[in-house]
Amino acid sequence: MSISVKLDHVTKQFGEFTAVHDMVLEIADGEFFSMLGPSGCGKTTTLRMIAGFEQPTSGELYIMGQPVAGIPAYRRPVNTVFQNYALFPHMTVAQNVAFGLEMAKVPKAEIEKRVKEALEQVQMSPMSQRKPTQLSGGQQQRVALARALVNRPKVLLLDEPLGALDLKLRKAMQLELKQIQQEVGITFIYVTHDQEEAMTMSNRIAVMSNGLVQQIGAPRAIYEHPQSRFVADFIGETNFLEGNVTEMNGVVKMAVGNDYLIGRTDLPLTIGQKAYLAIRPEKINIYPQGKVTVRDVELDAEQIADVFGGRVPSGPFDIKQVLKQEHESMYVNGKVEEAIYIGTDTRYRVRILGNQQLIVRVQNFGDRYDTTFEVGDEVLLHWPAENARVLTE
Amino acid sequence: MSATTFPAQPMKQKVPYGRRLQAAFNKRALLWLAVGLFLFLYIPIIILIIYSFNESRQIGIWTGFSWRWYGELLRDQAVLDALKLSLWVATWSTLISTFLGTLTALAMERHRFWGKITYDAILYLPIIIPDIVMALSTLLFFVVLGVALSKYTILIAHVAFNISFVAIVVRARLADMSSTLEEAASDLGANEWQTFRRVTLPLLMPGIVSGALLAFTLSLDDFVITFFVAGPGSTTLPVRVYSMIRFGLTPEVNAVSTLMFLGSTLLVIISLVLQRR
Repeated sequence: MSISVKLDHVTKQFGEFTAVHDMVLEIADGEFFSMLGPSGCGKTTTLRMIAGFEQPTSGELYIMGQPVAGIPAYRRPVNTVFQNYALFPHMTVAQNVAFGLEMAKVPKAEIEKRVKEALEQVQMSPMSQRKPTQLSGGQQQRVALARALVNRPKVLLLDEPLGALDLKLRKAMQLELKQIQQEVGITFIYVTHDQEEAMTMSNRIAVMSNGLVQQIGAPRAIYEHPQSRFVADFIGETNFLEGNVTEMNGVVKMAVGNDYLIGRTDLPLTIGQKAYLAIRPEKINIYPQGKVTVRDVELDAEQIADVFGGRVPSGPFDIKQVLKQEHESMYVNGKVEEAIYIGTDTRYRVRILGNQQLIVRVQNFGDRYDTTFEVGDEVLLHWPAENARVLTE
Repeated sequence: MSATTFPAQPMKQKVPYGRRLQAAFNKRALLWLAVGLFLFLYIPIIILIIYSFNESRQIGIWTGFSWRWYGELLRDQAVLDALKLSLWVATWSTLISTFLGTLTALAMERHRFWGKITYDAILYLPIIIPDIVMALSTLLFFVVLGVALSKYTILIAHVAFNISFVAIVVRARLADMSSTLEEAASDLGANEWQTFRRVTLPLLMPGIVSGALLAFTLSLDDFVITFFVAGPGSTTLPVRVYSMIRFGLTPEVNAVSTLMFLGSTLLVIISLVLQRR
């Protein structure tokens, strides 16, 4: 697969302020690539450099293999969907969409045909003679998309295009954008601060903060294998437990007082180093302490049978006996301090290891299956080592 | 906090009688003040207009309604020549200053250049400094350069002060206009000139027209600066009116003033309407 956009050690400074720092990035042709980060992280500046509205202070930028330094925005094979759509208020919808083709001196008959097609693609044909001010936000968004796509750019840049829409419309447009991208097959570079939006649409995501790329990867990799505390914290919800690394052989053991925690890591760590165990609330199992019956726990019947000599016990048994058998896993006693029912899930705040707190999320399956806990209940938390990542600051 | 701590409906505030009386008085006083102020401003003009229709040559003695002085005006070649010159100066100074003022506004609002802050301050000077100072300095400028005073010196002087007014009006419009639209045009393949012609200029048009109307009005009404820099025989309407008064006040002066007042008012109203769009 060829590369459509390449950033080679690109830095952008505004006076003393470094907006983008030494960015190295390769975006494949036909990829849906998102730049995700809080405001001021440099994602919009990066997009504006690709569009040609800003020039890099240093480094080189390539579009379709060509260095674009000094090439003005109007000669670049890219088009942009702006945050507030930037539709020309003195032109009709059709005139807006035709603008780029007129600039490219496309014959009149073809302009007419392509404008019609583009408006059909975004389902805006009936509105072609309206002025932008007579359209709703979602409609303006569609026109802005048609105005960019009609030029058949090599790369489409989208600067938080759904930011001004309400939640429901935003969700519908996310799927539609993804679908359109697959139809036209061109590279989309999408800037957003909404992690769910980025996860929904992207092939790959670059998580940015303070002008630096923190991590690049597929949504799954970013979520399951965050490489830094910032990424784990920014994408989804994460518990952080602080400790010191004491042992590393496949799994990492971290001392917290006299107790220990285990997890896995992709980072080079040293013994004695201060680190954080990051674990998602939905990746922790919660069980009652003491004797339980098979009905009370979500465990594989075969696994239980293995422990009790090939037979599932009909009476109560100690769950720790089962968990002990599990390879490289962690279990710890805790006490429920807060239990909140939120429909799809129940959230528990559990105190463990004396003074550490963990948020645990349990999906609700229905009254028949759910074991619920009350504030004050003594519980047992369990997770396999690979569910927890050991990260540094 | 439980909901019962708040009353279901906000309590009705009981306003003391004295305070209510004072509020009513304040409202009425403000109305009368406004009426008084308008009368103070417009009574002289209303009197001027009324007496332009007076039959008698005597100012202050109403003898009957007549169009006589408007008729005399149309037969007064000196007044007609002055009107012609006024329109000539106003038209050309408007065209030139609108062009230059618009370019100035674009430079000030969309570009960065050396000495911009200084230039920004200087741009407002013709509006701030007294007319008489402007007039004197412009005259001295022509004298130093050895330029003979003529209708062209009037034109140059009018262009000089009109640029500032046009630039300010156009710039206000430009400041309201997001530069994202220009970026969007550029993104769609329009070079700088195409962006200006297809996007910036059409959106700026109401501001430019409004600035032009203001310039036209100011040029038409200017007396002080014109009086100083006018060459022999180059008499604009305001200067002509001034010289007519020196030969004694006749209703003809009232008639020409009334026409000037109506013309200027109309232009200002159009300008204000366009600025609001």
